[in-house]
Amino acid sequence: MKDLAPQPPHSALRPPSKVMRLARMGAMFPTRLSFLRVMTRRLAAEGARLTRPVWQIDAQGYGHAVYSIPLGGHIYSLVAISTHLPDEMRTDRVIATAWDSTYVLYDGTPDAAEIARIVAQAPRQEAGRFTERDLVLSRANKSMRLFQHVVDRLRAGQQPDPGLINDVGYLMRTTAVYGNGKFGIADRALIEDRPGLGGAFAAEMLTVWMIRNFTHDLVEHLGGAPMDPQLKRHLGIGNSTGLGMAPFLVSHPVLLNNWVIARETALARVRALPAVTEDEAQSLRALATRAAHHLDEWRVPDPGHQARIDLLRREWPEITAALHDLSGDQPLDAVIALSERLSLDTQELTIALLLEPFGDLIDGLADCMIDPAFSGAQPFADVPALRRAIEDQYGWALAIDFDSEDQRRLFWYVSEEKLEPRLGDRFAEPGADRESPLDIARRVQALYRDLEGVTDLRAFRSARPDHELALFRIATARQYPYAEIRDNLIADTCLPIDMLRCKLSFFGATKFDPKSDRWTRISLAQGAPLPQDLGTSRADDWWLAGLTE
Amino acid sequence: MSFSANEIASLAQKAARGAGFPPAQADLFGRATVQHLTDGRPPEALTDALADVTNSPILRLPLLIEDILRVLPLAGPEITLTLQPGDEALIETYVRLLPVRLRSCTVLRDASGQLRLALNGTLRKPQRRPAPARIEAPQPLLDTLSRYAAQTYVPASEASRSAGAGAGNIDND
Repeated sequence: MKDLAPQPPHSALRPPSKVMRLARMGAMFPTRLSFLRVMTRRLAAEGARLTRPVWQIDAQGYGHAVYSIPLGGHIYSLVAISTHLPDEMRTDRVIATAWDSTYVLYDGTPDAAEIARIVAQAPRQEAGRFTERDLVLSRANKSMRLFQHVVDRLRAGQQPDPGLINDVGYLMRTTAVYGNGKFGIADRALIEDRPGLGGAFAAEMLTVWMIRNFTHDLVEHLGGAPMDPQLKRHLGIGNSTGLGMAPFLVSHPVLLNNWVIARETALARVRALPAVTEDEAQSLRALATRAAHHLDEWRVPDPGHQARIDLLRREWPEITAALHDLSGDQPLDAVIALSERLSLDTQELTIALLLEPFGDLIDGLADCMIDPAFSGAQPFADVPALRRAIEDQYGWALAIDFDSEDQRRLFWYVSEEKLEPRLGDRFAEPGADRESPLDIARRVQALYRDLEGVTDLRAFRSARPDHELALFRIATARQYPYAEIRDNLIADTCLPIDMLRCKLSFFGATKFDPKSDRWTRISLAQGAPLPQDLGTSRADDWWLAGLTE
Repeated sequence: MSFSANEIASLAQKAARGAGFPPAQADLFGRATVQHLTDGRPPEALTDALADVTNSPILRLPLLIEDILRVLPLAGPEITLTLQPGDEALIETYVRLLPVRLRSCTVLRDASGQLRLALNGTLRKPQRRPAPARIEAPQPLLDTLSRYAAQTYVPASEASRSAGAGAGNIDND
């Protein structure tokens, strides 16, 4: 993480042994440091104005549109293509080959030839080819529950049902948002120095926010009438996310560290505040009430996850009550201490709440949530130094009994069909010989065992190249303490959904709606500013914003 | 056809894993492949390196360039390192991945016939190098990389599609 000077005072950071556990990562909530929030804050700060220079959409809602927005001295354009899709072809799965709508975020303002190229290629998605002017590639399907309902209501001169809007939360749901060079689009390295696009997943978040605007315009076009802005604000963009997202957190350890340490530093700064003003206290109480409304609106079909939400609802009044007297020393630290005897979900929601009113103190940390150096970690001088590092950083991995089949039951792999990550049972399915290297704990333990009696580390490394990944991870963890998920990712108890929730919370997702332990639906940008809100106080005040405020 | 750097790095990394190289070395080979092609060096060096998993610069060069980082502050700016046969075609590519300000980097054969790397440079703060907008990769190289990369993929079945991804085939709302 890059240095910030002067550093505000802060409490001790929560240790990685506490933060980097899957169960806690699977309870995270979006904060004001989440990437979509950072993006809308940036758009608002720049006074960015979204325009729609092209709208070639027919009466059935098919055709293409172009939206443009200035950011950091550049123009970015979303080319949106809407096509007819038979119901039987509409699926969230990455195995799909056709979608209701497809998108490219374009670098600049596309001319007619470039629009024609994108209109031809974008509907092909993974089968298409793209250029370095194309920054992000995405697609989305209509919500069968909501899209037509909204159109029908608008056509009838009515507004859509708020209850249904709340239950679904979006008109369309993306099933992939590709960046960083996929299928020929621009590498992130080409745009990472640009103001406004340098943050983590910034181009992707800009795309999502612009897609959301297209979905609003499309239903109003088909319905022939405008939607109430408050209802429209509550229509975010859905996303359906599966295993494809999970390995990213393992394969980008420095980035993961920098995301987490920014959030933990923000928390530590807030905990260290000796007192809060009455305005800040009132803000916290109002936000806690907003969170309670959000919890009331958050309903999911999965009984296990609904039980977690129900427990959170029952516990939340304790946090709300604690906010009524913030007159003691370090009052927010006391709230955190109180939360720690409650569920992980309540603990993590409390953290997100307490960060919210303190933008001046913590927003600068968003600049640290990248991996600018792409640097290797310092190597180890000798075997004792390496062994000490393993014992210090990976005691949790040394304690795992890998002789137990259950501790090594799962294997991660890439499917030949879609080149997407999958998870299998190594004792029941073929393919474990092609396992992806996400078995970090097992590798570190094996290295530690094989170091017994070794004196010349250089010679050992030359003879045993299979241990180099473990060595790299240990060296990285020594330098970046939050780089490693401290759980066994091949144990039968591993729940990939926890990794998805962690990453998606950093994106700014809400309304997690798990469909299994391997994929989830979410909402992004629900409550986010509409284009006309960017110049208003609403632009950066939408944490867990709901309909019932 | 031109490619993004990430496409090439990802394909080459998978190819090295598919050829049997360990993941850390495969990852570095992916980055080296981008550098190699960007510098306009012969693609055959990349395919040759993949051919023998027991005797390859893909295994040796990661340690060798780490040696450079260790030795340069102590004995630099001019240092000489011993190369193994087969390393000469890729060593300059790997060196260029390092956070080193290079003045020269030359492969030599000394009087005894031993291959050596003569390097003159100083350490500098690591920084991400400017990425090329596009990379041109010859088709034979792409074919070879793709063939090896396929060795990391697990063929799908309907059961693995469903269980492996944890979702049904049609998921609408």
